[in-house]
Amino acid sequence: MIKLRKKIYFSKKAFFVIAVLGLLISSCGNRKYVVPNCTLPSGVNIEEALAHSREDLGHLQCETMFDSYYRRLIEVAKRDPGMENKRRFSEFLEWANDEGIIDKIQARSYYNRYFNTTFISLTDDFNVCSSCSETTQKEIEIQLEEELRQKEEGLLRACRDKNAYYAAADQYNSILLLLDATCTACRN
Amino acid sequence: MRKLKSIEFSVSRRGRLFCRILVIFAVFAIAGGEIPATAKQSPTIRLFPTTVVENIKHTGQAAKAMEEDLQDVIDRLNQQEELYMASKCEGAQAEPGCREIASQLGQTYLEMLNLMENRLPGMEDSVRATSTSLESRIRKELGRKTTLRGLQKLLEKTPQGATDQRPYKRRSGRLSEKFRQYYRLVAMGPRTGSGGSLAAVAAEIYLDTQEVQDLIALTRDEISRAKLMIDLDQAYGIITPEMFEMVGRVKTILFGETGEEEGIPGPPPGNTKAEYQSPLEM
Repeated sequence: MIKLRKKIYFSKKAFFVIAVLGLLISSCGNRKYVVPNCTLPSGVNIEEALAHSREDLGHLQCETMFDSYYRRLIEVAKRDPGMENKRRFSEFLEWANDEGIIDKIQARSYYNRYFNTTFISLTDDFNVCSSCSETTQKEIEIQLEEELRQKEEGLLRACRDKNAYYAAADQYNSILLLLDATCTACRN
Repeated sequence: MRKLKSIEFSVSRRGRLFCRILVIFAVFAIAGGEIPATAKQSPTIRLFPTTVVENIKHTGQAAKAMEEDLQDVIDRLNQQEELYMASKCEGAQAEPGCREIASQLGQTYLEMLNLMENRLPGMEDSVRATSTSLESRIRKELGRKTTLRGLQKLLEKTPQGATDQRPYKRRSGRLSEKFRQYYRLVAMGPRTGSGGSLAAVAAEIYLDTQEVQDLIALTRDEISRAKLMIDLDQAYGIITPEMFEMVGRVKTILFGETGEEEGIPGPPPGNTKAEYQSPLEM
């Protein structure tokens, strides 16, 4: 009697294992493994380009290309300019942060570099005198110039927000003046 | 009686205890009200104490006095130079007419040198005093107390339209006029509350004083050299290109360069407030 029970138990177990294996084999046969195609967005419609980017960046393999996607999106936005692009890009960056593609600091940096008058290149860690060696000062000036160029792309070209861009350019000149005078005073 | 005393004692103890509690509450109340208030305020930037303002005023006055002294001589020099050029005297110094013009030019030039030699030391002292006092203020207030981001925050605080023209634009024109404008800005600054523009004004004055000091030092060297040459050659009749250069340099210090414009783009008229504010904005 016991032998019979054991036999039935083992046959049930074997049947279950065979069924699971069969299911796995059949599923592998039907579904091909999809390698995501990370193609940078193009065209002249920013909404479509954003949707395309969200779709692509949803795949792990494309995440590392976030910077390239962002730059391409700016290019598309320049061809589809408007004030609402600020909101679109902000929402896109918040989405990327929620999805874990970029962290909060990166999201802020990407947004402020292109769409805000605040210069993200100016750090808040140490006093001005500590950044006044000639090399450091030169580096800061180069970074500021690069950021002003990015603001020109974002604020002026992609959003057509002339007021904000001119305010940023104005601040850029004043910051250079203050930096120059302060560093001269610190070095003397 | 003893009971009464003990009651008095306990009342006075209670009173003292009550007073102490009141004091403690008062301290907490003051602290509660004051500390967050001070925490909210950004550190005060004091770039223009009275001594700096007075130095700026004095530099303006010294420049004005020097300009007035030199204006007449420089006008004469200009006229003589024009006459010399118009008479095509270059390369024809042997001509009696040209020799006469050259001699007059040389005398006026020497007059200018003497005037400058008398005036420059005072001017230099005044500019140096302004520069030194501003330098220590800028180093302390902007260099040590402020971060790079803080510099921008300082500029952001500047109220739009606080002044008619943007004060941080590098000025050109007469030195006395520059310092007169600086003095007015600085003296009026605290009332307008434009901390950012005052920082920019301080930076501009400081860089200007540095530049002027260099120019003055160069000019003093040149004066000594030119006077020595004149003494050696007794060369009233010889016109050298250095003479014209020297006159040009003096004009640069005193009257500035015209047509000098800095590349700050002007914002178009209209509301500068952006319509959309992102939660990512800093």
